Amino acid sequence: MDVPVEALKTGVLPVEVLDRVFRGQTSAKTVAVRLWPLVMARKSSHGAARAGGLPEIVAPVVTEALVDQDGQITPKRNALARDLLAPLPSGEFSIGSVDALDTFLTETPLPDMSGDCAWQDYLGHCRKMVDAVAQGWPRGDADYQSIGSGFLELAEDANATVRGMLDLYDKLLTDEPDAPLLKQIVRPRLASGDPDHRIEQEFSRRLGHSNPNVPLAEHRRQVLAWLDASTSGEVIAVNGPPGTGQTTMLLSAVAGLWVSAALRGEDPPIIVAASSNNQAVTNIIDAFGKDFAKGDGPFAGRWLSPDGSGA
Amino acid sequence: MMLTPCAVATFASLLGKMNFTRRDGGKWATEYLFDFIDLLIVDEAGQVLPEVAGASFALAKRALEDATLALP
Repeated sequence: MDVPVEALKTGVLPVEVLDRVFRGQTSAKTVAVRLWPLVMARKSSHGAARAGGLPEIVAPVVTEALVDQDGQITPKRNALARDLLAPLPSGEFSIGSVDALDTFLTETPLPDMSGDCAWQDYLGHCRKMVDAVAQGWPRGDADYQSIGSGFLELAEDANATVRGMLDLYDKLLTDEPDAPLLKQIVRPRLASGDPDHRIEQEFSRRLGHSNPNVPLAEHRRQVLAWLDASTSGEVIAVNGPPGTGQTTMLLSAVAGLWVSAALRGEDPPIIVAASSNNQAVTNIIDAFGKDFAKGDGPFAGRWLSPDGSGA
Repeated sequence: MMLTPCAVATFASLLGKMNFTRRDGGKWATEYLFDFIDLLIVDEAGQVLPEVAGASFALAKRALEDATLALP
């Protein structure tokens, strides 16, 4: 939802936005929202958006707030978007660091939001936060300009999303269960010496494949050999440009694990494929439905639900 | 003989599936299936924030991460 400029100046939502905020919960006194008061857009140059890998829209300040029936916004928590702050995967666009934000918020908490000039205090806090962490960005950055209005979103959904993660992290901290893989990720034990490169040539480690017509590239086969040789608590990380058979490799990894468990007479492995967003996950499901060959034996086509939904 | 599917989920919804509830004293406690998944495949690993994926790594024995290098 867009928040018009006037609302950002006064802290009161206009009726048309308010109607949408309270839609379906007209009896509620307040509704929790998230607000992005400062939204910057890439400047277009001669009518065309410029390339360069920078994001089109940047909204650095994120505010958790309550909106009451009169449209008054009461900020509860004010911070900068985590995905704009270093440390980030290399090369990603960032405007400051998490450390700088933590330092600022410790020294300068959000002022009390009950007084008459609370909204002005809040705007001041936003400005000071951006100045402290991002050295006044986007001032001096010729690529971005403010679009004036802000964004608003109802907050419940996002809270539910991270709830499960926070609960699990709490559990990890209190119970300290044995989780070797996580331990290895967080505090890696470095292997001593050079790994045995004969492993990647061992074709006998490849026991299953997902499709009779689509073979794997040489280096993908090496990955699967390493996967077969890996033990509990190990991570195999693969990087590659698009279109070089990553999905085929994943399917082949699944097929290989199934076959090797069957040969050992064990229960089949429990395999989970996960990613961060629904699109990536849908891609995996599509690939399973499409690229896993059905075969022609008595067990042919044992892939549940062709539409992928129940798979 | 047991058959197991290959489960596909987002990291957010996965955690909700990998727990169980048991009676602990007078109340119900939520427990997680730590060190349970034989292979955790992370697709498009470059798009996944470490803190989002980290929790799920506690549930798995091995991981295969697959990332697409964006061409400049």
